[in-house]
Amino acid sequence: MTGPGDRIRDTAHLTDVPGTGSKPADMDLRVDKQARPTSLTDQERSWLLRAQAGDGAAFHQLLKPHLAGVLALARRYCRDPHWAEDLVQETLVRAFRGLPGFRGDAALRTWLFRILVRLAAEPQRWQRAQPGEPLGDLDVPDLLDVRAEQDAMARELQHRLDEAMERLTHRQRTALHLRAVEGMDYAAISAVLCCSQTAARMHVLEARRKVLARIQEHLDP
Amino acid sequence: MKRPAERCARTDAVLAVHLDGDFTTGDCTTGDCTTGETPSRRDGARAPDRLEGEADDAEWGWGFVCDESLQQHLVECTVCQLALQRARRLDAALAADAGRAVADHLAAATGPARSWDEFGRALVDRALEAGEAAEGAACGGSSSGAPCAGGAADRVDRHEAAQAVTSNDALAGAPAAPRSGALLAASLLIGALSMTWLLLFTGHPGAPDVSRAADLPAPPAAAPTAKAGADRASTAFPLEAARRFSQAREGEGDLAHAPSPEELAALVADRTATPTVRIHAGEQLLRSARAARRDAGTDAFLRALASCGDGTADERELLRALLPQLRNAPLTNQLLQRLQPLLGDEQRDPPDLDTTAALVVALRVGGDRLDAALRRLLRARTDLDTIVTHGLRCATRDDGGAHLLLACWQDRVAIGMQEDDPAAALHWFHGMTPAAFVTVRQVLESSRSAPERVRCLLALGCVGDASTTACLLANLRSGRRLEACAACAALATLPHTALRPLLPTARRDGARRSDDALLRLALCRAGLAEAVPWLAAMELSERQRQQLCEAPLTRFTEFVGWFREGGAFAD
Repeated sequence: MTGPGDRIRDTAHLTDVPGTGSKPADMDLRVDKQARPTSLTDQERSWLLRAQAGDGAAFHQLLKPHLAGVLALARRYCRDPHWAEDLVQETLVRAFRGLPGFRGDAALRTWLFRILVRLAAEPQRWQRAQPGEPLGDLDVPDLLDVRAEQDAMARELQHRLDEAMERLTHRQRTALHLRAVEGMDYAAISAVLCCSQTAARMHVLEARRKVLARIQEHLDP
Repeated sequence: MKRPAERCARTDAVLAVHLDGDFTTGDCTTGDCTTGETPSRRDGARAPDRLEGEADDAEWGWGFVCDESLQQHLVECTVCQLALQRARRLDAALAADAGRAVADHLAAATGPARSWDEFGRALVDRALEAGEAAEGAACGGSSSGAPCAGGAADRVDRHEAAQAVTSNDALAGAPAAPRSGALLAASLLIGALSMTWLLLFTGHPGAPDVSRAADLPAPPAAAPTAKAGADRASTAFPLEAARRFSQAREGEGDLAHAPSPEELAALVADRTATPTVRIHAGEQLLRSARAARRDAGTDAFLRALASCGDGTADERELLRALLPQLRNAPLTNQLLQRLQPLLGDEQRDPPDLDTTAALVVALRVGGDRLDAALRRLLRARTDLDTIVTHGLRCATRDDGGAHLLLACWQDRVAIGMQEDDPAAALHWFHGMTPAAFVTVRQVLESSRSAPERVRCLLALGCVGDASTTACLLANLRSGRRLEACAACAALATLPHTALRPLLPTARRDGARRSDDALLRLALCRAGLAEAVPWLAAMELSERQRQQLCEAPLTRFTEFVGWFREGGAFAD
């Protein structure tokens, strides 16, 4: 299953995809372009047809590559893991119920994320469950070895990052997550957020600026 | 070369092109590539303020940014180089953060042994079942087994609609819970509440032996109609149904005259019958239970199980024999299906007798699926706490229900309905079984979450004897402030007999350390007569004394200062 963050770790994705950009291949070093197709593959289309006919196994195969990403975005909205799982499940339920109307013209991943983002925008249902755990005392390393210290530092960065992300607006948070974690281009982000590409771009840039302003001292080597 | 502290007007364009791969930004469409800056920026306007206006690229001037000029600019501009480096690190940190969050989620949800594939399959399966249940509920046939129109009907039959307890959409269209047993349910709840009153007013609040007797009263439907003889080992059952049941089991009678499920359930509930007979009757009922079907026999069986406690050896044996078998489908699915109406009841009406019995049995059976469903249920229905805590005061679960209770407490704290304080600890852990507190100590030792350790320490204050004194004292001296305060608060809720052995330690006039002061604070909050001189030495006002006894954990540090500086160590 493709996990969140694979785009960063997997440099094989840093290649051009025909039809996704107008620049020649020698420009690839500067960018991480959209590596995933925007429409369904033949295999996915086959699974889609079977899933629309009520085949649960095909539904699972269809969603399998996207579940980790969906869960990661849900965790971005709900720090409480159980609420996040509820949100994912609700997203999958909506996807299942809306499957007959999904023609496959858009990318399945974009469609799933759009459902999730719309659900998460209902604050009374999902955003009330932010645990008020204090920062800094969540994880005390048991051993004073290097690994424990590094782990504690990573956790500290994680908490700061979460805190900074939570201060963003819903759209900014979503846009930055989709760009940085999922590797979506502005077109895909705009499709998820139902806005123009310019707006998506500005959401990403503004979100990045705001988060960096809060945690850049933790990022500088 | 610009200094790093300055801002560069082209930074956004650099990031858009070199980090986000925005090719349209890099296309020089106008031939003016001298600035790389948007007209709006030059006018001093902030771009995000106009985002909702859905401005196009031309308006924002991105078309003026030329790729070649940006590359040249990036070579020269330190500000953009630094911003690009930071943005790349941020993106990497976000990706790593997301990966870690998902890995943590997987480990917490399923344990390290299970793979993503299994977890994903379980997620999808649950969603499928919930979605199908929603369709089934919408056409009114999911709980009764009546067929629905179209292809959804087949899927409902296939998946039993059990997991719909997690779906709000499904619940919105779900049929309302039957109200025919409302009177009985009300009486049951009144019984439970009266037991709570008894628990609260009979001795020390943490006394487990008192609360252990707090089982739900036996429902009238399950009461035997005749009494057995004095010889409990006799096979001459008091009921005609029992006789026919015995014949059917031994193959002597006509199977067509075998007892009905209702009669079997009455046998299970019959406290005058031998445990062997009751167990056999229960097993017979379990075998005959059908998935996704609700019949009167199963309802009566659940009522009988809910009415059993662990007060006698017979009932302990009965529960030990029958409850593990309930962990297997299809009865687990039936339990979940019975709990579903509780989630959909926005009026929060008291559950009827059958639903209450299903809730109690589900609590006693436990397991991952049931516990997860119960936790979701309790997040929505805070009015069910009394039933839940009473249902768990029965030694039928290996963990004593402690994991579920801690999780529910955490949920309440998360939504701001409770605090990490002794009152919440009493709410959840008052009168729980020894197994629950053993589990709490295990969680305390293994948890890496400070709030969870605090909750464990507060829960240990509900034990009601001296068995946890040493553990609490060790945590009081652990050096971790919040946990030390929690241990202090927990010590203060122990009975005086458990606290008196600590007096010599508390009287020690050593280095006036914070932990000594915390120990004295605990003894004062407990109302120990021997602590009165310390309070007198501090010359506290009446209001301060009240604060000392009632204030939350966050003020304990202030109280330590009173003890250290107020002359309390002068004795």
